[in-house]
Amino acid sequence: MTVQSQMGNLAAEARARRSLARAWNALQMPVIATVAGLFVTSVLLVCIEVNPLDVYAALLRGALGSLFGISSTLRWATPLILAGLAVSIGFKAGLFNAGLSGQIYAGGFVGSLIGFGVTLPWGLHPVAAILGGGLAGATWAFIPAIMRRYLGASEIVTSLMLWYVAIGIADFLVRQFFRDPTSAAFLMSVKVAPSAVLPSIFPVGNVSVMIFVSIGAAILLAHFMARSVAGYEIRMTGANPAFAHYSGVPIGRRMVLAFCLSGFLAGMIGASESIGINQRFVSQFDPGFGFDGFLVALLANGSIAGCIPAGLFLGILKAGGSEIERTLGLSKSIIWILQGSIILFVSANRLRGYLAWFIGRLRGR
Amino acid sequence: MPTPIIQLIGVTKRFGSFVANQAIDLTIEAGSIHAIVGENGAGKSTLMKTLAGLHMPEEGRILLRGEEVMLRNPEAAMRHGIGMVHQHFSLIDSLTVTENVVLSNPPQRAGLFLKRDAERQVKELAEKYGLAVDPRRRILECRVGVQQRAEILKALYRNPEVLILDEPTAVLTPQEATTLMENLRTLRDRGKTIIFITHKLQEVMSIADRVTVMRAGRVVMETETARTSPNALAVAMVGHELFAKPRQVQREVGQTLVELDGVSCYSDGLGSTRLDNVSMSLRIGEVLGVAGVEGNGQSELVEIITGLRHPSAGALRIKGVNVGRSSSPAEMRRLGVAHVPENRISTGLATTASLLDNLVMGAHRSAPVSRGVWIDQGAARNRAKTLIREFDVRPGDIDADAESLSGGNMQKAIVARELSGDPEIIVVAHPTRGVDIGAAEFIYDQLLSRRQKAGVLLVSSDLDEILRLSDRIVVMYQGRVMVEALPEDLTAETLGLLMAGMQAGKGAPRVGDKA
Repeated sequence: MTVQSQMGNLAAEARARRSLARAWNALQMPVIATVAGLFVTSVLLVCIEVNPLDVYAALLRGALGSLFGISSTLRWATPLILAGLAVSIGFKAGLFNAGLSGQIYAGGFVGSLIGFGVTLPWGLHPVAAILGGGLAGATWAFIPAIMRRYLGASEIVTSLMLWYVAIGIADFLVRQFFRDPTSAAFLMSVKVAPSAVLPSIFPVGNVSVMIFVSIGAAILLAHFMARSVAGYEIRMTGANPAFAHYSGVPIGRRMVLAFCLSGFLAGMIGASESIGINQRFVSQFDPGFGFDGFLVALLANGSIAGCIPAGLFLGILKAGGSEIERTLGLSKSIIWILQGSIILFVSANRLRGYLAWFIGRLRGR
Repeated sequence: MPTPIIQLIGVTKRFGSFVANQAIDLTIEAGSIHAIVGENGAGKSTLMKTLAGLHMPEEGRILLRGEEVMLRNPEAAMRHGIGMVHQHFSLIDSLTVTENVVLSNPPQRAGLFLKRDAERQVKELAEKYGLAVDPRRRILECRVGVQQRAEILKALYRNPEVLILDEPTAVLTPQEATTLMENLRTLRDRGKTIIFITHKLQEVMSIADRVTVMRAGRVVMETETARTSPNALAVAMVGHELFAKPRQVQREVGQTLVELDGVSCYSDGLGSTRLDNVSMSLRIGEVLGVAGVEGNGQSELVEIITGLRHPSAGALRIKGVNVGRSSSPAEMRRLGVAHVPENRISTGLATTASLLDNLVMGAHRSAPVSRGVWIDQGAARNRAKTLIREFDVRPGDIDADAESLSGGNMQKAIVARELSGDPEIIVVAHPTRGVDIGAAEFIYDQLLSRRQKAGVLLVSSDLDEILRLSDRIVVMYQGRVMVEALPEDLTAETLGLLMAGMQAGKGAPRVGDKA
């Protein structure tokens, strides 16, 4: 081997080691947090004299042990991945989309509206409903975005407040014009046209083709942020707005773009719930995907593509909960405790430092 | 002779390999006003922070009234009777003057804040030292001069024997500065010892009893004010030997690139005038040096030319194009303006992004880096690697975050990025601040070599830098152009005096003063 090729090998080896170290760096926090969350939940379970291993086994069995379980996991992962993406893209631009739920609601309403109000051929109808829902979400995000740009209003507050406005408008319109006359207690709209329904792609459960859309959106968005001119400018705007502005980046427009993209993804969630799961607009249909989006994004640790595994993971928790309830007679809320404690640890930045110190001490002794 | 209140013996402070203070000996007499003067980076602030307990020196001893002490933190310094008023105030805007002043130890009974008592205490304190404040006014409603008095009162509230002020007049109007000088005299007459850092020799001459001159981390002169002159201080500040080097002045200039015509700029908040009717021009083939102590309008000048700020009045033309009030950084960059900003961390870089991302900025919208909507990763990496090689940025890992670089290498990376693409108008602010000598030399060479095809506007408060690089010099003081001159007509002394707001005795023609 010549000296030169040896040097080349060494350089390649160093590069490989560096990218491995980076990958580990990115994974470290979520992994540590998950382990810590499982530990805290276990302590709790032991206190009420339940074997934590039984619980986690039931969880996995429920989420992955059957075709129905897998279908259920994917059904939940679909909106969770999209919601995680919506939050992450805001983070990248240095923005906090606290009004995800409002944009989901707007998308749910407009998606179902296109579903029952418009006549379109089979293949096209769901596409139109999903895109229409996305646009509705983007519009709902556009308002706080331009208020931030031109009036300096905090997007956190305005987008959150617009959530209530979205609920009010959608529920009002449904109650006035589109209410299903047979529905009594619940406020819900008439059913969407059969041509608009997103069918389940599994023989059991509710998982639709939207799972591929979610995963595809994550891959596309990751590529867009890393490789496109606009994505680069959004990242730089988030990393240091003063630097981006001084360099000639139109930071106002980039923030608006990122926020509308976030709203678009949220709107797709609503539309997909409407035409895929409920097949109509149901008042308060969103079980809290807006909040879950933050869990996914935090767990993904700033990585766009990381929203896929993070969304799947939280999907497993959601899907496995009912199995815990059924076989162990334990309340499903144990899942909430697990989720909550994982997120607590994900946001605990110094945990890693303490852990390193602790491990160092163990080794020292 | 009584025991001096403070004695420093051989105090040395290092930051990494950089020696900020080298074996400093300093004696402060009780009940005196002692001025510390020197250029930026001479080590004045570091020395004072050591006294205030913000730094621990590596070597040397600190004696208070003859007894050696360890000042581990500001609290310890306070207990030993040393208080410091920093250049950037540490006040809470939404609280009143009183609430800020008594914050460290508010009068209370049963856990309840006694507002009346506090206001009375502050009023008495203010009257005792002649510091006019309204104790009930909120800080954000106070002018800068009053805010500073609140800051001084806050230090006095702890009843220190020694009060250190870091460039107290830098933020003040001339009238406020005059008032402050009177306040400081009153404080001394009431028995306090005052140490203050300044650039302005006028102030030293008017109120200081003794003066210490620092240069490059060392004390180069210490004397009674009565026995020295502003000229002698200026010479000591900059050091004669620096100007022995003959320099090549560029005489053949071309097209006018930047033209300011009666540009004024009023700051948005407190209504002070930052630029007052400034006219100047920059032409191809020259380095125009803008000299001045920081805060005399240079930042605003740079921001206007680079599109970060709009002039309140007057006209700005870039290559004959009137850009006036609608300018933006993007537009200025299209017109060929490159900008090395005065603050590399807050403006010049995205420190949490990779060096690659930082070096691609500006080139990312055009070929070869951009291919339509997408960025060509290969071309981007090539560009970054080329710049790193040409400008010797170390370590040269383009995937590492920019924050892992040292200050000097950050600056080299910024200069590399801004000079690539051969801009015609190069605006450079304090290009070598905090940069080691080797890197500074390299940056100087780069700037001088660009002169043939571009105009360079160099803003600096470093006399050496200005005299060494400029083909033409304007001196700014309080938002105005004091003088425009050729470097050979200026000595370090006259330049130092002009920067300090004094009219030059000789050799400095008053050409540019339009006020």
